[in-house]
Amino acid sequence: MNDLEKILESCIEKRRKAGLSIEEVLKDHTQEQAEEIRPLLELSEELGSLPDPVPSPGATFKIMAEIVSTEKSNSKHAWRFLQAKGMLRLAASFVVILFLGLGSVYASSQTLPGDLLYPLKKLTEKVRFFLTANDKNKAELRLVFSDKRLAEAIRKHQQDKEIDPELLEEMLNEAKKALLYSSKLDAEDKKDVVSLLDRTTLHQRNEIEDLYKKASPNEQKILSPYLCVCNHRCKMMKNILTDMNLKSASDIQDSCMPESSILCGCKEGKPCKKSRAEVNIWKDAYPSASKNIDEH
Amino acid sequence: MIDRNIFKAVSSLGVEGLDNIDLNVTLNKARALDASAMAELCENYYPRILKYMYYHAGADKAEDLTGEVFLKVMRSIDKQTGNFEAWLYKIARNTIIDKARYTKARPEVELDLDVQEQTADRKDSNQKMTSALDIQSALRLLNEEQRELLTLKFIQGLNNAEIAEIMEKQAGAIRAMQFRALSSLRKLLKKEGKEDE
Repeated sequence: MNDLEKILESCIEKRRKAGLSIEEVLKDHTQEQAEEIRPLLELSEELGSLPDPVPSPGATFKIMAEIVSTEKSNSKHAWRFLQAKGMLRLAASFVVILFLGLGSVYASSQTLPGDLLYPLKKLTEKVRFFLTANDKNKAELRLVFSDKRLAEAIRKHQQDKEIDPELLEEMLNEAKKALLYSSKLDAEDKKDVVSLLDRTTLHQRNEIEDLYKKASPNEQKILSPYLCVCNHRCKMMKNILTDMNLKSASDIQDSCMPESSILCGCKEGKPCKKSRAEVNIWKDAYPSASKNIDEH
Repeated sequence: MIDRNIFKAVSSLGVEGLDNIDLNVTLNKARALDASAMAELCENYYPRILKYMYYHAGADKAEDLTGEVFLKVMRSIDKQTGNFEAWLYKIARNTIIDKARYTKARPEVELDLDVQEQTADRKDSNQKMTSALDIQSALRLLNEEQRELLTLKFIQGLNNAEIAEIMEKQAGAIRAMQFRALSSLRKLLKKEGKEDE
């Protein structure tokens, strides 16, 4: 490797690792070297900012059909029947097209984990997300999914008398993804998504609190950390909205926090491990989120 | 300060939201042929592979080739071990090579036609698109290896070790190649600029 190759490599690495500008990385080199390397660095920067191609919905049909065809269904008999008849690929394509074409299908939308159609419901959501173009819509869709998981958890409790922590975990994760998408948006879109996230968070907290009241002591143990995270999220959303000069839904609804201290999983006034991790993520995306949060 | 925090939070999620822990969980599920996990992998990596194909193989072939890559991924994910991204890019790379072998045509010959079409179109484009098109056209005039290196390193943002694994070369060779590839691209852009004048 000659000198210029080495210099180019070190400049590229410095720019990547330390986020330095072209002029900053060239200042340690002679003028002649800088003149040789500068246009190459500028070119590398231009390459990095080339626009993303937009995927077309049609192109993804085939892949999604393939995915459906590889799914290990819970209903092995039905699956074997389809395989034996050699209809699998065709059926898979049909199902995907049907789901994509008709939007939500009532039968699958009512399914719960463990049901035959539940994997298809989740897959439909993935496809829907995959085909969603901008970050604002993606963030809003994440919140829709988050609420769906909560609704499923509630139905599961009514139907099977059991709390499914995986559903609650997914509910929290989907909302977290919405928050992180929102941080990429411009100011106006950010306000819309953050307001929606605020209302969603409050709604989820209230629903979990209701569930908690109906639950057995063992079930309450499972619900407690989720309620705790929701309580913290409510507070953080309020902080974020205050920082944006907006009103939080928890200001409007007085009943936001009355029983939170009794029901919350945190001890001795400090956030539990799950909530602490949550606060850190929220704080990274919105520094104002964690204001006064330790006063729990 | 705020921007840096936002960047940190968003970049920690990867392309579309998978961080390292999530990726491992999703990968393990996908290897067990879980449809939802496979869809999640597609959701996360499809845009990246499409971009790789778009700039490496050409806009006209990008979607077909990306589709082929993901079909191969779905059919062999249960056997996947080691670094997933390197494995994925190797499949993408081999898909381009197989396609070139199959058509028995040098990609550059076909690509020249695209360059002409796009050169004609770009008169109507705005300044940014014109600039992107210039680079895209010039990229296609580079040799296969240089185009691949520039796509992986600067458009896909991979590091030398990852590129060396994908291209089956030494990391030192990648460093030397990148200087020559950027210099060649610069010369091509200069030449195109003069022809336009």
